[in-house]
Parts: sequence; C-alpha cells; structure tokens
Amino acid sequence: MRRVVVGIVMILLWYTPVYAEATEYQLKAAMLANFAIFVEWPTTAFSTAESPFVACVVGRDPFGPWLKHELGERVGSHRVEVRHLENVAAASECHMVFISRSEQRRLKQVLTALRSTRALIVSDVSDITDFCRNGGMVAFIMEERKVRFDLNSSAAEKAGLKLDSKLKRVSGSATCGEGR
Amino acid sequence: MPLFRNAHNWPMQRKLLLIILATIVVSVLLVTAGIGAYEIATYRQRLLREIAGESVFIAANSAPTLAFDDAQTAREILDTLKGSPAVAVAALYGGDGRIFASYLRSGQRSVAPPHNPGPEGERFVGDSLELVRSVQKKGHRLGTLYLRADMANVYQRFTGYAGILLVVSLAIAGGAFFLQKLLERLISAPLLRLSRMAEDIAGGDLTTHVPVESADEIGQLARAFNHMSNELARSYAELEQRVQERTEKLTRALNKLRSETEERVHAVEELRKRERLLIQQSRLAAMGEMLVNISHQWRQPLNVLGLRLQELSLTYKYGTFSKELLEENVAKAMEIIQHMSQTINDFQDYLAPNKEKKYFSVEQVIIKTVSLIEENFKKQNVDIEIISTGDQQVNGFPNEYGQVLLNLFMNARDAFVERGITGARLTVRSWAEEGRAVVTVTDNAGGIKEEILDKIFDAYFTTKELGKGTGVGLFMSKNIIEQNMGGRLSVRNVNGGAEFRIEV
Repeated sequence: MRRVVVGIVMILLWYTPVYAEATEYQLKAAMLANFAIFVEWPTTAFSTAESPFVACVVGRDPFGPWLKHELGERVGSHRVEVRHLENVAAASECHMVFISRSEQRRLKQVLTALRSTRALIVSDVSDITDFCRNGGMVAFIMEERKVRFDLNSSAAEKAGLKLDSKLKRVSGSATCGEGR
Repeated sequence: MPLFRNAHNWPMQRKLLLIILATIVVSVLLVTAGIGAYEIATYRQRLLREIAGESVFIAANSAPTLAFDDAQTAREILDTLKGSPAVAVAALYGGDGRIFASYLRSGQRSVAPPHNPGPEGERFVGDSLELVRSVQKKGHRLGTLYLRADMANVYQRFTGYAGILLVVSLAIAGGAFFLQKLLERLISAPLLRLSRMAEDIAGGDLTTHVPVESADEIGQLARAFNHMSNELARSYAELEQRVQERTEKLTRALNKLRSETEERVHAVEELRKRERLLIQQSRLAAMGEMLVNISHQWRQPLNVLGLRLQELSLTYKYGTFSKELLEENVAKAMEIIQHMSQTINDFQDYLAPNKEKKYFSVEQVIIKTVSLIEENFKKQNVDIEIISTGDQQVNGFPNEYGQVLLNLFMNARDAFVERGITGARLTVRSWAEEGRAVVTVTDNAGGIKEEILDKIFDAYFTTKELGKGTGVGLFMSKNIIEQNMGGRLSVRNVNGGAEFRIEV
C-alpha cells in the first residue's frame, strides 16, 4: 500500500512544473500569492465576508495565466478575483495592486492615485527608491535567478495593512525609500 | 573497611560529624535519585510538550522563508534550535517535498534528516521523539517541518544535577568543617579540659579546678567535677587525719604490748628460775629419801656384819677360833659389803637422769623401785603387792619413771604413817591397754579429799605438816610423765584409798 502511495507521489512530482525552470513572472506571480498570505488586510477592506479578494494589475499584464494560477481559488475565506485596470481610478476595490514596468514613466501619477486605497502596492520597476518614496510598498528585485524584494513597511502600515513580522526578515530591506 | 576500622575509638566530634555527614549525603543522594527518577519518568511528556512548542514557533517563523524561498533565513531560524539541546535533527521540506533547510545538533554529523519526513504527527522511536508538522499560512501548505529530539536533554539536566550535587557537597564539606570547629569549641574542648582535670585528680592534684563557662550539660559536668574535686580534697584530708590518729593509737597499743610482753617474759623467766629451784629441791628431797632408804637397806646387813665381826672376836676369846671360821666370816662380810656397795650403785644409777629415751621394761622398773623401799615399808608394816600382766615395753626415761613410782610409794607410806592405818597395803598393777602401758599405784589410806583432788598436782601444794613435804613431788611427777614422756598421770579415789594411774 505504502509503495503504491509513494509511486503515485513520484508520478505527480514528475508532472508538476519545477520552479527552477519557471519563468520570471511565474515566480513573481507566486510571490504575489505569498503576499496575499502574509499580509493582513483590515476587515474594513472587505464589505462582506463573501466579498472577493481582488488582485489588480496596472499596465500591461506580464503574468499571463500564472497570477490566477498562483493565487488559487481563495485567499483565506475570500474568493480570488484578478482584474486588469486600464484606469487607476478603478483601483479602490483592489486589495493588491501590481504596477507593471510599462507604467514606469507615469509611476508617480499611478502611485498618487493609489494613495487613498488600502491596497498592497507591488511593482518590479527598476527605480526602487523612487517607487518606495512615492508610496510603493513591495519592490521586486531579480537577483540572479531568484526574486527578492524590498519592503516599505511604514507605507504599508499607513495604509492599514499588517505585514507578517517575518516578512521583514526575508526581505532585502524593510525600510525601502526611507532615510536616503 | 579500613577507613572505619577504629571508628569506635574516634573522638566524639568526629563520630557526630560522621553521622551528620552521612545523613546529609544520604539525603542529597536520595533527593538526587528521586529527581532523576522523576526526570526519566516524565521526560517523554515534557519532551513532547517542549518539542511541540518549539515546532509551532519554528513553523510560524519559517513559513515566509519557505514561501519566499529564503533558505538562508530558514537555516538561521532552524539554528535557533541550538537553544534546545534535546533537538538532534531538524529539517524544513519545501512544497515540492525536497529538503529546504536542515539543522544538526553539534557533534551530530553522522545523522542526516530523512528524505521523506513521513506523515504528520509525533511518534516515539526508541528514546527519540519524531515530530512532523506542516508549515501553513492561511490554509496554504508551504512545506513540512521535521524535528527529532532525544534524551540528550535529560543527560544534560543530569550534568546540571551533578553540578548541583558537587556544589552542595562542597557546601556540606565546608559546613561540616565549620561544624567540627564549632563542636570542638563547644563540646570537645570543655570535655578535654574535664578529662585533663580528671587526670590531675588521678595524679593526686586535688586543688585542680575547671572554669564553668556554660549552664549546659558540660557546664553541669564541670560543676560536678569541681564539687567532686573539693569533696575528694576534704575526704582525703579527713582520711589523712584519721590515719594519723589510728597510727598514734596503734603505736600506743604496740608500746603497751611491748612492755606487757617484757613483763610476761620476765615472769616466765622468774617461773623458770623457780622451777629450777624446785627441781633442785626435789632432788635434794629425793636424796634425803635415798639416805633414809639406804639407811634402812643397810641396817640389816650392818647388823649381820657386826654379828660376824663379834663372832670372830668371841671365838678368838673362847679358843674356838679357826682358820675356816675366819675365812668363812670374812667371805660373808665381803659379800655383805659387796651387797651394800651395790645398793649405793643402785641408788646412784637411780638418781642419775637419763640423757636419751630408750625402751625399757615397766615391770623391771617396778621391781627395782620396790626393792629400794621394801625394807623401809616392812619396817612400817606396809605390805606391797605387785600384780603384773605381761611385760610392757615403754620408750622413755626409766630412771625418771622409777622416780615417779618412788614418789607415789613414799606419798602412800607417808599417808599410812600419818593416818596410823593398820593393815596398810600398797598394790601395784601393771597391764597393757590400747597399746599403752598402764600402771596403777593403789593404797588403802582413806583416799584424798574431793575438794583438793584437782589441786594435788599443783606446784607447792602439800597436805603434809610444815617442814615435811615440799609440795613438789607430784608436780614433778606429772611433769615427767606428761611433758617428758608424752603420757598421762591421773588420780581418783577407790574404795578406802587413792589410786594413781600412769599411762605411757
């Protein structure tokens, strides 16, 4: 019996995509999914218990199906919804906003527009300092073949988000955009 | 155990100390053993609790590292297990089932975490506890935590206990040392002082005293010792005085005794002198008697001698003298003279005291003595009868014996004469009785008065007229028979006379 189980597990492992071979955005999608786990939103962020968890992508969507895939069906008790925003003004319902690199040139405006939301603002733009100083919370950095991130915890806390204390540990810097 | 071979000779403080130490050591050992038993009995539960708590903490902390693929931080988190020495092996498995990060307790190189952590939960494998817990966040399974713990914790605790035991033992040793000093100061030293005092007293120093420092038993003892010392000194002085008094008394008594002894010796000397005088007197008396007897003995032969000489003279006058007659008469005269000379010799022999004891015939001594006095007795009309049964041999002095007989005969004759007895008769009997020679001299002169019967053997006692008796005869006789010859001389009254009895 045990052998049969072990055999099935082996076959499943064989067909599951291996992370080392995954694309950059597949990894980043997985990262976003992790943030969905390790960040606590205030209860006011959801109008009802059945309200969906809304993950928004501003600009050109680099994830393809991966974001939806990595986030899965639910975050906590909430159904997951992935939205592509043409207009930042529609971001008020978002719990998580990913600003695509395509928005690099008008980053400041986007961030200003998002200032009043309770969303976790994530981006992989190259100018991290600028991103953080203007209210960006999580900045992705590619280091070799791994995705790392810097945290702007004070900005997140200002937005009423609770970051898991251990997040700061795994982050490259927990004080992104401060004191520079 | 050679260490305790002379334990009963140890000083008291050491014994006390040993008892205290033994008690403490046993207590500590018992407590340690109890704690050890408790540790072993409960270690699984405690281990499980500890490891479970640890796993929750590790799982919570390592969740983001798994999520964000930060193996470095995961290792750092696992390294915090250094604070839990019970944990030997720990590993985090990623969502893909591969080992993400692992931890090995230092000195645990040979053991590796398993490739597959196995099902979730906790299980004991031998002495080890294996715990598998999934790492989750918001219902998302991020990976698996595997922990293995063993008894090292308990052993480490035991090391700790050993340390405590060592410290406690050292403390006990220090305490014991302090206690010993204290005991020495409080108990041993005063006791030793008392002991020295006892030795002083035993050595004769009764003035010794110990200071009374406390009111406890030792203080009481010290007081008792001082009291005893005083009492001893007092008793000793009293005894000394008594001994002196007694010595004086004894000296006085001794002096008195000495003077008394001197007096007594003097008296004895006096007595001896008088005794010698008595003997001398009795000798003289005996000689007087002898002269009387000789004169009696000689009267008849002298008459015969005279007759023979007269016959010679007459025959010569009448012419009938012849040579034959002369020769016959001279021969007869010579014979008589010879006989008289013999008589003197006999008396001489008789009077000479024997020097040594010898065996002699009692009968012969009787006959010889009687022959000395028979002429005298005939003259006084006293019959002498000798009744002899067998010839008794006696060891002693025959002349003295004869002297005694002579004395008795003379006393009888004197009694006859004095009382004017007619038909006077003296009977001498001799026989053997129980191996002894018995001779009785019995008269019929009326006997001796009962009231003086037990005095007649005393010296200087006499019933005769003044100037006639010396009062020495019977005293001497008793002396000769009883002192010199070991016999017995007694007297009693028989019908109409006195009977003297000699047993030798």
